[in-house]
Amino acid sequence: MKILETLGAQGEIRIFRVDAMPKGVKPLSRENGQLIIGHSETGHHHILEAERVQVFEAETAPEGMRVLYALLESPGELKHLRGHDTHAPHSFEPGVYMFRTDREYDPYAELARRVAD
Amino acid sequence: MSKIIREKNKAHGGITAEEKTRMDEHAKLWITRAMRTAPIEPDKIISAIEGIYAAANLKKPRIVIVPSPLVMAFAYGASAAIWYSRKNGKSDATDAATRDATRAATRDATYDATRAATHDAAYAAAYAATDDATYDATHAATYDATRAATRAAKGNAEELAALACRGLAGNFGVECARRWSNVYQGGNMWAGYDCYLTAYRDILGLELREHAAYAHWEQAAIHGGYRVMHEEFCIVSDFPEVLKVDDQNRPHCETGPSHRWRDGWSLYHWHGVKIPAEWIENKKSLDAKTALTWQNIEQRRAALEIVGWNNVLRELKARVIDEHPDPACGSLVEVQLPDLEKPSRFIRAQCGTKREFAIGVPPEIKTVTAAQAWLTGLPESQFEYPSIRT
Repeated sequence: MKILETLGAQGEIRIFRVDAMPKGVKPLSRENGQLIIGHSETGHHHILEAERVQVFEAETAPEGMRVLYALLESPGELKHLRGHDTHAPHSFEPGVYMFRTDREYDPYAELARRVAD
Repeated sequence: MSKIIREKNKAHGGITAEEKTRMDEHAKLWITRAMRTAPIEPDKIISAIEGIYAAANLKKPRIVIVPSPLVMAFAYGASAAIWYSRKNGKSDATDAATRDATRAATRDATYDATRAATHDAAYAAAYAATDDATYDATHAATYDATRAATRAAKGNAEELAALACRGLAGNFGVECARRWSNVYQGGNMWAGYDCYLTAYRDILGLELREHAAYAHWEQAAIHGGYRVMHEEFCIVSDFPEVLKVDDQNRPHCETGPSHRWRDGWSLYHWHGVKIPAEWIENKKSLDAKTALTWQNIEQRRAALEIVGWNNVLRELKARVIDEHPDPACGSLVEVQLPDLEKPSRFIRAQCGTKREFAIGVPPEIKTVTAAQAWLTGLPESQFEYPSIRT
């Protein structure tokens, strides 16, 4: 798998266009009908919407990270579910995309963890 | 644009400029209702709720007005558990007892552009303007309170309410309280939807048979807050006596609670982000170290704003290691945190919404680009700054 283009960021979610679906991924299940790309403790999730889409999670990722891949067979959109300070949506053409949720370093625990909001 | 049609049971073709103007005023009216802080008027809310039960062909319930959604949730839990146990002699369910008969009253008669335009003009305006301040904040806080009900008592309002519930109905009561959101309706805090429904009737001129039943629901949306509906009883919350927002209608207050109900239950928010009460009530409790290392990044950002970035940097003897000209990429800052031998490093950067965050990176990171690559989990050789940030 090769990164073709660094497309953008929606809050802590970084978005890349890639050339192919990598090996070592497992399907991501929908939660309440939604494909959640970035979870939020307060319900302000980042979700991917498209008519025909499959999302997969990398079985291995750098410490503290979650890496997802989306196979879009129709145009799609990454939305942020928050009524204020909303991160604007990103639109995608059909293709293969990678979503990486930022991590951060905890100097007291001396470990990396997913950025939580 | 298609032809505008206005009939008693049909509204097609979009909305006129005059209708749009009226919808703006209509939205303002419902925003005012959502932001109400005047006390509940028992005769009006009781009449409205009795009307809802009657419209659903349910017997008249016992209606109890309580001072806050917190009391509502735990009173519901205890009451539902007691009623269930009386009827069934066991305690393994908290099913909703009633269904709203009026909620979708106008859906069948509305279509396409008219619906979309009305939605945009009325529902979206009222929803956007009120839901952070009312529904979101209250729902989240009540939900948190009942989720936390099984924790050891600490003496705060939430824990004491849980204790009272347990005293009345045991653990079954607390479990029922945790399910309050299965049977609740939002009252004035669902104003966005009622603004939308009533715009069809009051501005577009729909006259539907269902409006007679809906009128009770509408009155309950005007005259009451959250409520839980049970076949035997309905518990309805008073309005908050304090409801403070910022210029974007996000719950916010720098000197006290953003919300306070008449029993004293209070919520604290900083520009829409729920924060611990002590950050406002006892500002000395929030020091630079706490602010910079708070786990939730949104609350951390709020904490850093409350303490003030300059105070944080001064208190922690900060120095800038590297700086990118684009504030979205940020600067790499080193600070000396208490109880740590080595200095720690943070990226201080703006996100796409122009708000400033601090994110920890490993202490061996030397440049902003290396830090940003590490956050993304990519080698620096593969890392590029995103062209579009939202």
